Amino acid sequence: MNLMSTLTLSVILFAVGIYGLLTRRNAVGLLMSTELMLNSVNLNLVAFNHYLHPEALTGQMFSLFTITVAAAEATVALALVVALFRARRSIMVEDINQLKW
Amino acid sequence: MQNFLFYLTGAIMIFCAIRAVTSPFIFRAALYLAATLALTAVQYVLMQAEFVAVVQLMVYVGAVIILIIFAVMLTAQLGEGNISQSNKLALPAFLVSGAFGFGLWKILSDYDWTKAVSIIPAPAPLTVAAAVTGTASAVTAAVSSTATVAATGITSTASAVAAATSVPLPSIVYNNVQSIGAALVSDYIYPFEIIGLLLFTALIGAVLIARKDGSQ
Repeated sequence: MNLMSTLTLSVILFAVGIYGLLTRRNAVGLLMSTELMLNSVNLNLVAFNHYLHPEALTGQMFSLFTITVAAAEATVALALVVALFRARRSIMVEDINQLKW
Repeated sequence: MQNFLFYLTGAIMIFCAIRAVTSPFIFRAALYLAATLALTAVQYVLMQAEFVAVVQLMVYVGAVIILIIFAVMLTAQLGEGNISQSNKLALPAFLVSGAFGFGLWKILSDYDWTKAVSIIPAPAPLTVAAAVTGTASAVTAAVSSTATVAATGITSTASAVAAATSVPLPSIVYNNVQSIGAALVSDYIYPFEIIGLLLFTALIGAVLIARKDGSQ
């Protein structure tokens, strides 16, 4: 358990999030992959804070702000999903092609 | 013990994350995501960030997952498993994410992190047991030596000012929550206010987007 092992875990989680972002058809699934990636970044920030500079609070502060921004983002994105479902009866992203010529 | 806990929770986190992006049922995927986020809180506790762990549990597992499950419930077609939740891009997506992850890991593991420790200037003295026993000249010598190591004028003047006004700090050991609370209303007051404004805007935006058209 050192800095590099935590960073490795975080990298794996981020790559899994990218995989989900590329393969999901469902808009809620895309949002979940995004949350996974944001979470891995938070893990990164706390790890840097703990292993490189344990007296400072900068990493923990950054991760707190990131958690807040992720919550706000989830709220707006899920409102969009609900509005989209009401308008189109589907939230599969390939069905949303109104702007495609 | 800590090592064991780290590797155990790490392995379960990776498994749950993979299931969260590959499960054919979106509801189960949400539950796997909840498990991943809860185990992240365990990781935070292992890294002595208790307040962040509690916030993680309350905001992510308590609020965001509930929101996601609500969205799954409100979009009724998703409860059934007969609709495929993934597109046909599994192999290219695996290659892309694997290449990206490996490249990132390579960069991170090649970097010399001991270098990163030495270039960071000394932090604000919330927990510093500063110079209670040392004489003033010894403090000044230590400051000048660290200043030459850091080799930047700003940090040297800052340390000199800090040394000149070195009132002996009260020997209170601040815990994590107290330190974060003090930092939120002193150093991080502007991000704190702006994040409040962002949350307010997101609340109004979510209500405005999700309401029905006729209900003015």
